[in-house]
Amino acid sequence: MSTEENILQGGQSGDMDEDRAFRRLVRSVDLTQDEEIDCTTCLEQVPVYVDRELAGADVAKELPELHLHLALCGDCFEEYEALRDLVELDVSGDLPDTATLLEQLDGRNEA
Amino acid sequence: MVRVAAERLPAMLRSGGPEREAASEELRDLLLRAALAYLVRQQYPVEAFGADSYTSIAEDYAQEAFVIILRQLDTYRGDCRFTTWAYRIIINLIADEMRRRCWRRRPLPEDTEVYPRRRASVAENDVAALAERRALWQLIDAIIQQELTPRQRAALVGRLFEEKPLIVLADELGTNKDNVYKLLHDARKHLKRALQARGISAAEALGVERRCS
Repeated sequence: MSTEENILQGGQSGDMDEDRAFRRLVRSVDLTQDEEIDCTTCLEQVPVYVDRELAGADVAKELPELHLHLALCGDCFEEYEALRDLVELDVSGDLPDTATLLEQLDGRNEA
Repeated sequence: MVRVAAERLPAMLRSGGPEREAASEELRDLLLRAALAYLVRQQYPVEAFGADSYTSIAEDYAQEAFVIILRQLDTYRGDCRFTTWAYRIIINLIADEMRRRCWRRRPLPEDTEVYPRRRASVAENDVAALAERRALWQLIDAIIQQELTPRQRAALVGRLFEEKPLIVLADELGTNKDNVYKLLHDARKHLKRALQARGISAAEALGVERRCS
């Protein structure tokens, strides 16, 4: 299992059908454990997960409960991905300044 | 603005005087940039926020996150970068609010079926696989309809078939996201055990699914 593959993602929006729903359901049942952490616990720990992952650690082994939650919860997975990308930018010194980010947003809005 | 090293921010925020002021200024700037970077990434239209500009949206969220961070500063344990911890808070603030707003603004579906129709993605000549899959699907559907509690069913159908965000389901069910996750978890556990009781493992069900993909 990879956190790159959250079972609630990977399809086109609006392309929902029984096939995809069935696949998601069966995969989520297959991954189900007796004990799972909730979203609050996941989001409290996800900064550690992101920093360890960016440091090259095997996060699936270090934080297996969190890893499982991210595979099963599309909303937490979305926030994890956004945090990982933001931290990656920040750590590499590539997080743009306010003016540059606003230019990107305003340019997109006008397009 | 003189930049403050991120690892010094927690101690400086806990101190008083000019150090705290400098740290606050730095943190506000980081939060503002984090909010804007998240908005760039997510491509939410400015109208979705009911606001005139991205600047005001980002400033409002940065201020709200700043207050939360100061309030929760003692819970920061130092097991990750302070900025990673702080960015998580502002992303979560914006994400849940956007899920609510975007769900309200979504285009309405053309029909109101609970389970969307199956498309013809299975080869018509693969009759055996198709029949096996249909039988499994009917079994799972019967378990969902007859054995889950109404709240478990509402959470499962809402999440997997209607793709509702957890925060939207929480609002609809009058509870919070953790309780919705618990409903989903209990529903999945029930399905797993119910299938096992009938001699079907989830892995076998996945095998049926793969033969039809």
